[in-house]
Formats: sequence, structure tokens, C-alpha cells
Amino acid sequence: MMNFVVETLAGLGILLLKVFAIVVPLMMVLEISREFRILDKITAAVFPLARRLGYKRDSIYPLVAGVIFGISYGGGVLIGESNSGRISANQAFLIAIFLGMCHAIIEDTLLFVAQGANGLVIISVRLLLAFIVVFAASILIGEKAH
Amino acid sequence: MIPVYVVVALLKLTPVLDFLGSLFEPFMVCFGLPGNCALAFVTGSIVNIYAALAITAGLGLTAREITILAIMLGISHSQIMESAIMSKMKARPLTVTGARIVFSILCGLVLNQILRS
Repeated sequence: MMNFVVETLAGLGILLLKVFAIVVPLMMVLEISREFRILDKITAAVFPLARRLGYKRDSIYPLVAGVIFGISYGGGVLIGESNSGRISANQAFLIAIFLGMCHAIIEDTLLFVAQGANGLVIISVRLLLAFIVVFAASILIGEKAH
Repeated sequence: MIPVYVVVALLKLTPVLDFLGSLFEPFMVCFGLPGNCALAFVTGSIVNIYAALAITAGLGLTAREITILAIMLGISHSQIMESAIMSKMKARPLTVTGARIVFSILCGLVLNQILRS
């Protein structure tokens, strides 16, 4: 009985330490990147590629926020931008379908890398899948840029 | 995450996890995963990634297994909370949720075929 309690607490302690060691520094980096408006710079950099996938200019900021910060953490940005009137229902759908395949890309990946996963494979598969699915979706709903 | 970890630790004292594992073995083998990963996948899809981590932590998975599970869970996790946000975005939450489940499973099947250990 005592053995079980000690083993469980030790295992839990190690898992919690791993998660804190990843999440706390990550949150700090994300906060700092907010201060330095890194998101705006990334948004400008990916604009040519995103336009080819069918995104309008106003959709790219919430998309980038979700891919990096995640749907929960970037939720405020996503809902705010969607309800701003600048983003159409089709564009909101294109944002959501990309994020469905691929969001919180740093946090999710690191959590599993801490358990032994190959981070490069995780990130490339999710990004590739998101590009393919969005490309197909934008053709299907008629948002493809010409 | 902590409650899930404690519940799983308690369940390990009983035959319940082994039974569930052998029940799902025939499905999970298609993804190159052991049967008890089914519990992690379902919990992660409904609750969140942290709950899934609490389950996978004690399974002793190989790098290949954890990579495949990470991608499947990366695509399909926290579906209830995240579809609530999609719904507030007016972004067809049911379509997105359905697509996430389908592509998560497809990715697992394909990765099991092409990924080397």
C-alpha cells in the first residue's frame, strides 16, 4: 500500500515537473513575443503563401495567433476577429479548419517530445495536413484565390 | 491531469485497464499502437492533451508509438471546448470536429505504414 502511494506520487511529480518545465517558459516566451509584436511580423511574412490558400488579409492574424498560441489561449483573438465583421463566414471556416488540423504547435509538440516523440515529424505532418485540407476546403467552398 | 493520473494509477491495481486494452487491441494495431492507447486517445479527444499525457506517462511507449499518438492527439483533442470556440467564431463547428476525427484516424493509419521505428 505504502509502496503504491510512493510510486504514484513520484510518477505524478515527474510528469508535473516535465509539464511545468515546458509550459511556464513557453508562456513567458509567448508573452514576450506579444510585447514585441512578433505576430504582426509573422503575419506579414506568411501573407503571400496564405493568400494562395484562399485567405483574405484580415484572416491571417487570427490564423497565425491560433497556430502558435492555440485555440484556447488564442480564443479571444479568434472570437474577437470573427465577430468584428471583417471576416466572412467562409473565411472563419477556413481559419477553423486549418486550426483544427494544426494549432498550439509549440506546446503540443514539446509535451510529447518530453515523452520521447520526434518533434520534427509531428510538426511537419500536422502543417502538411493542414495545408492540404485547407487547399481542398477553399476550392470546395469557392474561396480559392485566382 | 492530476485526478486522471491518480485514477489510472488506481485502475492499474485492477484488471480493468488490461481488459480495455485487449478489447481495443484489434483497432489500435492499425495505428501501430498498443490497445491501452485507446483510452488515452478517447480521453484526450474529449477532455484535453494533459489528461491524455497523464495516461500515456505510465505506458512505456516507444518513440515511434508516442510520435504517432502525438500526431493523432494533436489533430483531435479538447473537442468539446474547442468546438465551443469554433461555434462562437460561427465556423461550422460540427464540420470541423468531424474533419478532425476523420483526419486524425487517417493520419494514424498512414503513419503506421510509412513511419520507420
